[in-house]
Parts: sequence; structure tokens; C-alpha cells
Amino acid sequence: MSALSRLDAGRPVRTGANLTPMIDMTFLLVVFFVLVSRITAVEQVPMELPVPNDPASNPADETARIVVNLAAGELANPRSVTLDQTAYGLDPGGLQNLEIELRRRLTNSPEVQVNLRADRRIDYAFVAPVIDTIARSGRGTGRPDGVRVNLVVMNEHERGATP
Amino acid sequence: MRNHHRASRRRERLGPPKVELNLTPMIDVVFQLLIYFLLGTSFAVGEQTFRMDLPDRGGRGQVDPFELDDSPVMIRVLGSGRVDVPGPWRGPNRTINLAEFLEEQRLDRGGLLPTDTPIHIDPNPGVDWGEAVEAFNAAVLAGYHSVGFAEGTARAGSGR
Repeated sequence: MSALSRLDAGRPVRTGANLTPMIDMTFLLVVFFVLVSRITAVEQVPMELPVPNDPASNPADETARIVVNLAAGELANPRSVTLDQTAYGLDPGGLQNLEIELRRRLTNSPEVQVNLRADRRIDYAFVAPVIDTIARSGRGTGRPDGVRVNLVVMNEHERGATP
Repeated sequence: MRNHHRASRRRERLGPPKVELNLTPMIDVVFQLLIYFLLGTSFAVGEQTFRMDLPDRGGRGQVDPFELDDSPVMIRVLGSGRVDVPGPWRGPNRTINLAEFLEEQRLDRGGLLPTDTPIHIDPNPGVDWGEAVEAFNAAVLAGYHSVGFAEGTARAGSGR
């Protein structure tokens, strides 16, 4: 008779994996994905970003940012620009509302930057008024050098497998 | 009566009843959530940025009387990969040659332009944003620090 059998003589041997660490890790992953997916849903609108050849762009830093999205519409050119999940028309009234909202946020956060994500297929005629609006929104916010804007592009060399 | 005694004896032999929380449904749900988020999340992989300061030239900002007004180099983006760089040189016709041309014009490479010369990208209204950014990238790639977009003479930025 083996030593183990002598110790547990008369009792059934209960074997079971300790699932506690796995459950802990799973919960951590769930919390992580809940938080991250909420952020990206607000900031990331699916679009085809510009893909420059031999890009001289820099990785995005962790500075606080406002993301302005200009996605292509059904007929390539957009009808609205989105800030978070609010759409603003590209007409003068819509752009004025966008300017007011941007100015409010730029005033509240002195360090904040503006990320401009625009679809590469859009005509420049639709992007230029948005750039002008961003520039105007810095008026009176204490930014002598103007609003810091980050033009978002896609670096195919840095692009890995996307889930 | 005899049955009752027999049952109580069995309970005593087995010891106190064990109370356990059944975690299986919770773990099932948590795994479902994990799989959902794993499949549904897309990260901004590969996204990079060009930094650009956008001064509000239209506003009544303070004007520095000692600031020299550098005449910018205008790069007209004409579409279909064509560009025009007016100036005292024989500029390139194609966007793919723009970075090399601009680098040759740098003062430290024997050219005429300091690297802080303002470079204004001036795309035609019908030009794709992707092509406009390509010209912007060429100027940054050539080593200039003050690159921006121009709309007439009203707006310009400085970027890198």
C-alpha cells in the first residue's frame, strides 16, 4: 500500500483544480476590456486614415486629447464632423457649435490637444473648414502658439494584427 | 419513529452540512463577457500623429513688432500625385520627389532654406486628404520644423 493511500485510508480522494487565480485574472481582463472599449468607442470612428509612404509621424503620446472625427459618408464626402459621439454639421451653424464646444474644453483643460482623424478619401475642401474651426476655437484660451493639433495617420509598418 | 432516529444518526455520522456558493454560472457569464470583449475590441494599432500648432491668424492676437515675417514656401498639391513648388528653383512635379527636393534645399545641405522656414501645404479643394497629408509628410521627412496647411494667406500652422 502506498503512503498516500495510508494517509487517506477509508476516505474518498477529492481532486479539484484551484480556480481562484484564473477567476481573478478573468475578472481583471473583463474590467480592462470594459474600460478600454468604452474609450475607443467614443474616440474611434472606423475610417480609412491617410497612409503616407515612409511616414515621418510620431507615436501618439498620452497627453489629454479631444478627438475630432471626419469620416467619409456614403458618397465619400462627409456631412458632419463628430466630437465624441456628437455630430456637428459642416454648415456654418454646425461648425460654430463645434467651435464653441472645442473652446469650452480647451479653456477647461490647458494641456489638452486636438486629434484630427479624417478619412483619406475626403476632399480637402471638407477638411479645411474643420481645421479653420479648430484654429478659431483656441481664441481666448491662453494659447499664444495656437491649438496643438495632431493629424492622425496610419503607419502600416507599425500596424500589427488587429482583432 | 425508527426511521427518524436512523436519519438523525446518519446526519451525525456525516457531520455538519456544508454550505457552498455555486460559482459556476458566474464564471460562465464572466467568460462570455471576456470572449465578447476580446472579439469586439479593436485597438488603435499603428495610428501615429503629425504634430501641428494652429495659431488663430484671423483673431486680434498680440503682434510682436520684432517678429520677422518669413516668406513661406508654398507647396501646391494639384491632385493625382502632382505638386507645384513655386520659387527660384526647378521644383518637382510629383509628390514622390518632394521630400528629396526639399531636403536638397536645406541650408545645411547647401541649399537656401533654413529648417525653420515655414512650409505651407496648399492643396486644391478637390484633392484627397490622403494626398494632402502625403505632401505634409514629405516636408516633415525633409527635416523642416514649421509645416502647416495654408488657405490663401489666412491660415498656417507649424508642425513636425
